[in-house]
Amino acid sequence: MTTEATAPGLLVDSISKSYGPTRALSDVSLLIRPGQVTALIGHNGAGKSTLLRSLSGAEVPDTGNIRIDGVALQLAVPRDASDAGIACVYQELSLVDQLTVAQNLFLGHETVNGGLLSRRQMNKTADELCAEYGIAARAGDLISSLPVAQRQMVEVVRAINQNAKYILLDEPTTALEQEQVDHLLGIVRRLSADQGIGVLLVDHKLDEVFAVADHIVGLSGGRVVLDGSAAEVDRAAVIEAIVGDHAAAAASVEDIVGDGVGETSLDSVETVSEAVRAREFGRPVLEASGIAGNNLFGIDLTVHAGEILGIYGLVGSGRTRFLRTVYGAFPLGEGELRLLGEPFRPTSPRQAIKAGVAFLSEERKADGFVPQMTSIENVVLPVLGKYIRGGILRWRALKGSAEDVLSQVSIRGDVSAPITSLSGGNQQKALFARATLQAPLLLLLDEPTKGVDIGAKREIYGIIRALADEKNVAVIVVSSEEEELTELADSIAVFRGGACDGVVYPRSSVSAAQLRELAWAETADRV
Amino acid sequence: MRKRRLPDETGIFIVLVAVLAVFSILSPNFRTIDNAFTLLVNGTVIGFLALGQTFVLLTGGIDLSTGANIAMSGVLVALVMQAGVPWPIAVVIALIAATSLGVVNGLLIHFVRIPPFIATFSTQGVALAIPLIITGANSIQVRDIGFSWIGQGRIAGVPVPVLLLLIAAVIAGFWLRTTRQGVHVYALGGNKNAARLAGVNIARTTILVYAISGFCGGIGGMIVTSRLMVGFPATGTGNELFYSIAAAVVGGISLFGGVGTVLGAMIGAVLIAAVSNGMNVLSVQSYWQSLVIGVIILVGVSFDTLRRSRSGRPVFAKRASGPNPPPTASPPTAPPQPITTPSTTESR
Repeated sequence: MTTEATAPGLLVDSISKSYGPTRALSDVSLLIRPGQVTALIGHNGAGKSTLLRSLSGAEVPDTGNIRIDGVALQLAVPRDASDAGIACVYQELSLVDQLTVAQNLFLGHETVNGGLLSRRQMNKTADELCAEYGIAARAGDLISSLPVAQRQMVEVVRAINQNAKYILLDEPTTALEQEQVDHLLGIVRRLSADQGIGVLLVDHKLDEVFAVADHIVGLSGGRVVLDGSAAEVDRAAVIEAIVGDHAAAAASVEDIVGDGVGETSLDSVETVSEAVRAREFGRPVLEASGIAGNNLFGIDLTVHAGEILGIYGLVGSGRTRFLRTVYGAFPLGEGELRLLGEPFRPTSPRQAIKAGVAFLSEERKADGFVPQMTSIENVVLPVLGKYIRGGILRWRALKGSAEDVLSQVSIRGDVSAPITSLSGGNQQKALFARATLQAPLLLLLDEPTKGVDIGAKREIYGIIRALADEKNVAVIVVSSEEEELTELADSIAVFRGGACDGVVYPRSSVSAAQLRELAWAETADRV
Repeated sequence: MRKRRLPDETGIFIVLVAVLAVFSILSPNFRTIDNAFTLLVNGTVIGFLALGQTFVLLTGGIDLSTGANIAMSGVLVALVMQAGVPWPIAVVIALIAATSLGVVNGLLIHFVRIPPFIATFSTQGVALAIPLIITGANSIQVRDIGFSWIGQGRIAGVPVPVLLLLIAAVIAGFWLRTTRQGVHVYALGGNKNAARLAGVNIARTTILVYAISGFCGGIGGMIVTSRLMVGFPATGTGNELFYSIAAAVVGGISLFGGVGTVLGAMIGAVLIAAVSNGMNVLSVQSYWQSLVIGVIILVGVSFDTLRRSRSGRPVFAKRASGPNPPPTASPPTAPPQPITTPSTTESR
């Protein structure tokens, strides 16, 4: 793309970035043109976040550079990017909730008159900006009193007010209702068309992409796999490109796009009925029906004793939220959970543990273990109640049991030292030892091999398999890695946009590419 | 529970021995048995407060109301005895009141979600004012001579308050190591979210530690009133609280929670008492005491903070996750920039 090196616009010129042995971006080039909307689409881990971080100065690429109108930029820190006129609006907004709309719009750029803030003028400008962009808020409103959509728009307007020429929007519509989505996309459109601002829109929903984008860039495995004008590429090509496996995708994509029938169109994918699963595995352990509320929109799912049920979906599709709801860490809104046929409404993890549910967090460090405690202490923490005589803990028995389960998962490292002294994989194995010691009916695993090396990954698969086969535990595994699910799970369900219809695919009939397609296709068709 | 080659308390113990040695060399009066008991008896009130504070600090909280609790419970016990109630019952009543103050702290912190500093700061004010209001700032004489046993009695030559503290410390240390609830205290302070997901009852644990701290403050009040045989509404407003936090912190109790032992806190309390007593014996102006102890706190907290950041958990997490531009990175005329890159990007 060096021929475009002097083209007007924000040019990403063949950048690469590696984290250790993983290549997050390889030789990525794309051009964000002034006055146009460029949509960036890609799967989990395709490199979108790394690209955004590189553009916003939060990350420095290993090779390649970023240019504006042909001039190379040095983006070492976020400040450099904003000085160059690049603003990034993340899902987690950077507004100050306790300040007003006007104060946020002018934060760091306050209008000063003789050493004093000229509040009246700032409020006036803020009101004008709100009116201009159709934000239903007034200058004096607190950010905390606004709905999410309005906050997002305030942040976009702030970027423009502070002379941003290029705006990067990271999945701005995920938390919005349809009406607000339309409004936001309308603003995006106007920004680029009227004000000549170059917009990069990261979005998972193809409808939105086609509604608003001039150009579409697809990333897969850190490479640009699609770069074209929105008028020229069709959905089939987009899905094919980002799903990655061209052969497998090509067969069925036609159908999806052709008549928009979604689910039934993936002809080669079989589903497995509840009756068959009930025969093959044990009795149903967890039955969820119509779980909704807290950004979940209807989840039906059943898992049986001895079954490993994989849950696949894009990041943000409600997988983690569902697991945590079952574990009592999030309140259950609507719908019903049944554990062994009995109604189950846990209001705290403690209750879920008592009922025989174990859970492994995706974020080990944030809420998986207590770092100051030894591996042994961490392992026994949930089961202390079972080892009490006369109010006194039987530490010898506890230690014996802990060492027993820790040796079952073959931990390498000192289990009597703080757990933080172990490697990531061994920490995770220690948490599996903890789950084993709980002897659960139902084990909930959220990205169980995240940040774990390949060797430990194998061992963890073995541990999960053994729990299901030998201890007859019902296991639910949430994963973003298709291969992990097709290898590990007996059956796989797909979450889309906070919902799951209870359709389950047997591992044997679904490929990694088809899983991706299922996650994408129906998101795209959902209006 | 925690196996290390060298106990964590070794460092503070060496410091204590060194301080005792220096004072003993400087002053012949310091190294007498009599003075040793004086030192210990004077240290018991700080010791009890530090003991209660230990539980609270282990959960990552702080209790600023325990000094005020001395005044409240100390005056209350005198008032109840003045009303003709026998002293053992009066003591029970006062201890219940002191514990209740702690329970209120715990309730405010857990259910109303007031930060511990603010919650206990407020109840401190309330607890200080109550005895002053009731007594009109007058002292209440205690006539029941039996009550003096708590603060002035001796068993086998050892002062009763010292024995009480010893017993309480042994029970507390034992409890923290050998009961489920004790382990939960460490878990809560170490990582509240992980503790919750592991089934720890956060509400019960939080309320319990503040109740224990309140109870310990109450015992402190009994000792003070018993030693003076006067319920004095203005006690506990001085250095007791300050010294108790100092004792716990130099004894290795982390202000960030999850780390420390009762033994450490008790050695810390003796160290603070020794510094205070030694300076008295050497006739150093008393104004110097809080300066010295303030420096001791700073040193202790600095060690704690460094230890924490070195163990891989950044103390200033927000700063560490997003590199800040050095002030020279942009033209000096540029106005300060709002945060355009939230630190949460790492989680994506």
